[in-house]
Amino acid sequence: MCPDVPTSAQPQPNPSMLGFGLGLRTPHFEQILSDSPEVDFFEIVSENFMVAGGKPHYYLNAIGERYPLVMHGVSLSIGSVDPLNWEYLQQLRYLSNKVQPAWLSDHLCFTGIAGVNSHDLLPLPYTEEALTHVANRVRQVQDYLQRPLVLENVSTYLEYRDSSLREWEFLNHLANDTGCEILLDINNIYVSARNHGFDPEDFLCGIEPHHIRQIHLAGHTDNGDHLIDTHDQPIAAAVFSLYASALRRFGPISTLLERDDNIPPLSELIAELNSIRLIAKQSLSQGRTHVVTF
Amino acid sequence: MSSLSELQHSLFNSILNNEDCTGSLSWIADKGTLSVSQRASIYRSAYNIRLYETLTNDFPQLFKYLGDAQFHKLAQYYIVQQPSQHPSLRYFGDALPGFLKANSPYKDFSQLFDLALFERCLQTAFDAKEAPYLTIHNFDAISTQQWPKMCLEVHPSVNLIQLTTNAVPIWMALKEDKTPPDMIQQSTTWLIGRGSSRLTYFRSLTQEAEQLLKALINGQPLASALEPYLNNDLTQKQQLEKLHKDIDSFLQDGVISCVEIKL
Repeated sequence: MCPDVPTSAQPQPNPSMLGFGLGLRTPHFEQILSDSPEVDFFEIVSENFMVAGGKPHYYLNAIGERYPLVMHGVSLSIGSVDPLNWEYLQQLRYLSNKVQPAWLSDHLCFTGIAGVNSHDLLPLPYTEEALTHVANRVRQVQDYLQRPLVLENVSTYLEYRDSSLREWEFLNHLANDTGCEILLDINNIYVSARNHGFDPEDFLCGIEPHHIRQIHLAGHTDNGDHLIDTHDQPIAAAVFSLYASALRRFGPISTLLERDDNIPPLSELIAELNSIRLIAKQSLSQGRTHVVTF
Repeated sequence: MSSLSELQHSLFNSILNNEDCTGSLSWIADKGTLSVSQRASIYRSAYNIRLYETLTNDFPQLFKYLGDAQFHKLAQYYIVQQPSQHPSLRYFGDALPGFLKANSPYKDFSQLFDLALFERCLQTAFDAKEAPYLTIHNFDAISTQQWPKMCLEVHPSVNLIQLTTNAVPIWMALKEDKTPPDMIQQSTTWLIGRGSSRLTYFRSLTQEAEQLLKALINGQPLASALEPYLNNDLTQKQQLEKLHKDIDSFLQDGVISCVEIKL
């Protein structure tokens, strides 16, 4: 059970609340432009638009004229012991200047080493050495991009024996040390909790609410003795429940539905997004938050 | 206690190493329902699946041509030999055509290189840099007297490739889920680009059109690009008509981006 949130940290109206968004995916480009669905914002995968031109940029421009956009990267590799990839960062800054996203996020992880990219979000050990290393790199990236980074907790399938901090403690320290913000992926919390045998509510209790900029929700695959973060099916009931708990604790936070595989028609995702809206409304009316604006 | 660098190398080695390396996984916390070996194998499987799916998505007709088993064998070989070094998976397949050309047994089947190169060039045209398209209307407004001084700038999506087999007819049959023709040696130059409707196009070129386009790509003024049209038995009027026809085709396809008159 979480301790009470101190009065000074009680959920407040969130001026950066964009509402309820969807991950922008290629099969939906045309329909978004023709139907103008009720989506409050779209999130782009930054790397998908780090190309010179063509359809990706055409649709990005057209959709960006109608909807707020946020950028979400998968290759920053903020925790890697490799040097920062300045060529990548240059492209990221160029795209960011063009898109003018409400914020720009990536993951607390490393993706490659010795110049080889795994294209996976690999876990970091939660040690003092890793914290110092990541904090230094976050500061460099933020200075270069001239904006705070928003970093997401990833789903993990292994933990390091040498870790001395819990994941949420690491995130809190990092945010306090660097001014970066947190993208709280509720599904990832649930997946990691099941895979490592901790209570996901402990994560919510441990994370400092004022660092949270955005929430992600997605589906996972249940393999019985472990879960895989597949983003290929609707959000599980247990994740919805954890989301409701998060909102009761943190207040209104921009929430995004991710779907990356087995992508259904846009109408199905809009219906799922509306379920998220409803749960948010119900949770916030039950919680400690006094002002809720949608 | 291991350093951050040691731990990252340990995880990465366990991903790249396809063998079960249980003995070297002592850095993983051993708790819960999964063994440390199972935990490491989740990352190893994800790595292979992700890269394999990238290749099947980026080379759909090569995948069909080889079939599941052979393509899987090729992909596993390629994944080991050419690990991704770019932040985006978009570029992972860039080296596949060259890999097929250089390695046995694939190098003995030249249509594989041609198919892979063709599919890669379609992708390159798809997301190439933006540029305007010169219309026939705008081109026709230019006096023919100014033609010799004209420089026609080629659209950045345009690519010329020389294939030695009938890989494109094979590709077209596969795309329509038809039985592909037998491979034959057939040297053809193919023009690939992206038109004003943002759709990718391709077509074969005559020798004259190929030389003209190469000259334009090299930035030569039209006067010096005309040579291939002069070396035949046609009258001057017929030569000009042939040239005009090829330029019209380029304009219709979206090959030409803009025109500059050199004074």
